[in-house]
Amino acid sequence: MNKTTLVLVTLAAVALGLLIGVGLADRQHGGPAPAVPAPTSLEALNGAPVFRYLKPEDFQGSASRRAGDGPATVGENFTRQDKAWKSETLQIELGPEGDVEYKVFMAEGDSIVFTWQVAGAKVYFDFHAHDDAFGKEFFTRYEKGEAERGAGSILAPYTGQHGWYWRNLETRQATVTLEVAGFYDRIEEAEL
Amino acid sequence: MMDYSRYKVATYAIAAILLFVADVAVAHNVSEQDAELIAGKTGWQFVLYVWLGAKHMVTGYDHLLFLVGVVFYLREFRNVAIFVSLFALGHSITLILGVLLDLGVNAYLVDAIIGLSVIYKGFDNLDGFKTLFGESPSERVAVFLFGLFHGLGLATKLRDLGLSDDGLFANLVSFNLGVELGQLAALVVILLLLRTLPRRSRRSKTGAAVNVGLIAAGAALLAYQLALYAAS
Repeated sequence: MNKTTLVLVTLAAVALGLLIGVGLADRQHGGPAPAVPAPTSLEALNGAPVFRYLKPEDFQGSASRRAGDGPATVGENFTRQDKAWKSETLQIELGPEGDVEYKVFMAEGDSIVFTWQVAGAKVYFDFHAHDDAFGKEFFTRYEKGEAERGAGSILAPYTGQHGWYWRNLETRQATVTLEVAGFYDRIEEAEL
Repeated sequence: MMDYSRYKVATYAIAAILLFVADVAVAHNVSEQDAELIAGKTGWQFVLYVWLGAKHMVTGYDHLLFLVGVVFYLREFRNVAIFVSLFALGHSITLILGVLLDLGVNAYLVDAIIGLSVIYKGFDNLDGFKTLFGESPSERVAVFLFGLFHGLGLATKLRDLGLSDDGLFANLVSFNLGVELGQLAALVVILLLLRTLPRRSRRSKTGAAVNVGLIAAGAALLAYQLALYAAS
């Protein structure tokens, strides 16, 4: 066997073997470990008074407990939806230092996934919900801070308004692009 | 026509080796049953440990592939005896010391090195080192050194079975005896199979093809173990 043949044949054999070996390991291991399922706000809120202020730790504790318990039962992770499926994309203009609030009207048990991102300036956001039974002075806060984007999902714990307050932190025009999909009644701009 | 039929034999041989590796690798969960056998038993269990040792050798596809490579071009019985003894000496040392000293080596990495030993032997049998670098490393030293790693691999698997301290050394020696008996049995079968290969000379295309297959199988073992290590 000359040098060229030897090198080519050896490389081909090693490449073939590496492919087979990685494939076998993947099959045995079942691919990468599944991500821990995100807690639903419903679970975090069960039994709690709706006007109680929820800290991020409340959600995290729920996540780790669920991870330790192993796979959740089907009933916990599946909700039948009879409402029509919708999806909307909104372009929301934010003037210099302007603010705006958008609400998703949802009945208890409705669910949505959403994503938003801002172009042009940095914004402060406050993602929270109001329960129809208690009025606007009570709220459940999901998340707040300064960011360029946000994304997530909601399983409505009560009938009410779930949405975002955005404030433009700069003296430039900004545009927030909000996409919502799922099972909900409507999206409206709220009066501030 | 003659060459064509040899290629056919070689292709079948490679396919058989790869299928064997694939099959055993996927179904390699024998150790759980073994752990149950050992559980609750204390003291010197001669028959049990000899049997377990033999079983580990005969179902240890990585050891067998290396053994195929080691004896592949050996014709004289004397040489077979020398090389197999060096291999046995190497793996006996680390098998016994590995368990007694409780060496906490990573099983995946040790098994990856064992895969490397199969690649080495296949490449060496192709005269790869001589062709590329002008000389090949001492085969005897290599067999002994890789034997040390094979023994470490056996030790980690034996440790995983959960051994009782009571009668540990006697059981270890029994296990080792079983390993050598299993190796002897495997060797007889391997040598008989090798004799059916046409013209077992270094020039034979069949011989080259089988050793290329060894390289592929060794690389598969290496990648398999490294992937499991990365995932662990």
